[in-house]
Amino acid sequence: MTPYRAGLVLSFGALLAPSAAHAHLVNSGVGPFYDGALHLILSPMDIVRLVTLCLFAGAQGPQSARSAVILAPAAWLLAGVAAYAFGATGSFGFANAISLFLIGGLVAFDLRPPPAVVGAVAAGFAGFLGLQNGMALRSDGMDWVALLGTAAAVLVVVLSVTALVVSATAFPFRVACRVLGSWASATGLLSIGWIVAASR
Amino acid sequence: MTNPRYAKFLLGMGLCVALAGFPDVAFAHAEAGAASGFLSGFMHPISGWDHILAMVAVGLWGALLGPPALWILPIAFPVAMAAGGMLGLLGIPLPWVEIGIAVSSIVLGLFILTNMQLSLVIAIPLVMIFALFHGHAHGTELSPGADAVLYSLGFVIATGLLHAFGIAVGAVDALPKGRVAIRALGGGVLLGGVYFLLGAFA
Repeated sequence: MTPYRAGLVLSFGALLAPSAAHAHLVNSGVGPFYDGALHLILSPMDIVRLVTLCLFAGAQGPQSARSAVILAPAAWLLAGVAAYAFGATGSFGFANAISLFLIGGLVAFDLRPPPAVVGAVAAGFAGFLGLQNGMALRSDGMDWVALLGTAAAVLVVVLSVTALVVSATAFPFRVACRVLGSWASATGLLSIGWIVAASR
Repeated sequence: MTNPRYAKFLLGMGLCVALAGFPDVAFAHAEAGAASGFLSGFMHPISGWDHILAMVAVGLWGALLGPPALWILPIAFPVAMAAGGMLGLLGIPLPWVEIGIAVSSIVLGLFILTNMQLSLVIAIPLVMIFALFHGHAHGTELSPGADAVLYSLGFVIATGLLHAFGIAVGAVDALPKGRVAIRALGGGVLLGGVYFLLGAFA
């Protein structure tokens, strides 16, 4: 077995031997900044929505993607700080479902709005998610520095995924992106029905 | 275990399995129930053969039609199915749901069996109508209490993977006797549909 394969096997094995996992109320042991970063990464719905946004931004080409990469994390941080500072509260299940339906639909239909619109959509969508994260971090009693960690994680995710989508121009990859967008849109649509039915 | 490389591979996998046998405590606090929501949703579309047959058949037929149907049909189906699911959740009735589900297998099976090459203008609405029936049936059966978005995500991903499985099976078409095998599968889907149709009338 080559060192490379041995490393792969050991890494896979290490992944299968979980240590104590504190999902959501994250305690990384290295401070609130990293707690915040893990907070995002361990929130599957945040990741799904963020990745869908990246698929949308990346599919528009480099110019639009650049504005989204700058605006989305900034909007996330600003909205998060505002929600944290003012102690905002609220429930956004329905709005989350609608936003996922719409942003997934934009990806699935491969709509190509102008760069300014892409930036505005990215900022609005990310700001909406940041608002909820700021509220969640405050209600979980986490330090405000955790917000910076969350925003840093958002920056890393948005940069990585958007860059991947922009750079991968092969047709099958584009199709895969649109399929993922349709899945996100369908998820949002089904969630709308679910939430409306549950509220009756 | 004569091949040393094979032996090392098995040893490595054995180590992985052994490590997996030492789980520590997991405190899933605020996200508690998320996994069950996703898994419940994921299991729902694969819980009935009537749904499985039709969804795999959509991918298989798409593979026979080739691009762009190959990827447009699997995009259209989950969205229309989610719309049907929403109707079911909201209690909006859709007539002849079980018959529609059975007919979807019959029609798709027939198309695969006869290698029917329909234009997208017909194929997409047809598949979307079938998806509405499947979605509605799921929507009326959805169990309350799970995480809505994660449940829906699992549900949609399972549906998409069934299409992908059908598309993968369609790759057999490139083999010498592949087309015959695919047409035989279409015949199987058709027969399954007839069986479900008889059940719907029983």
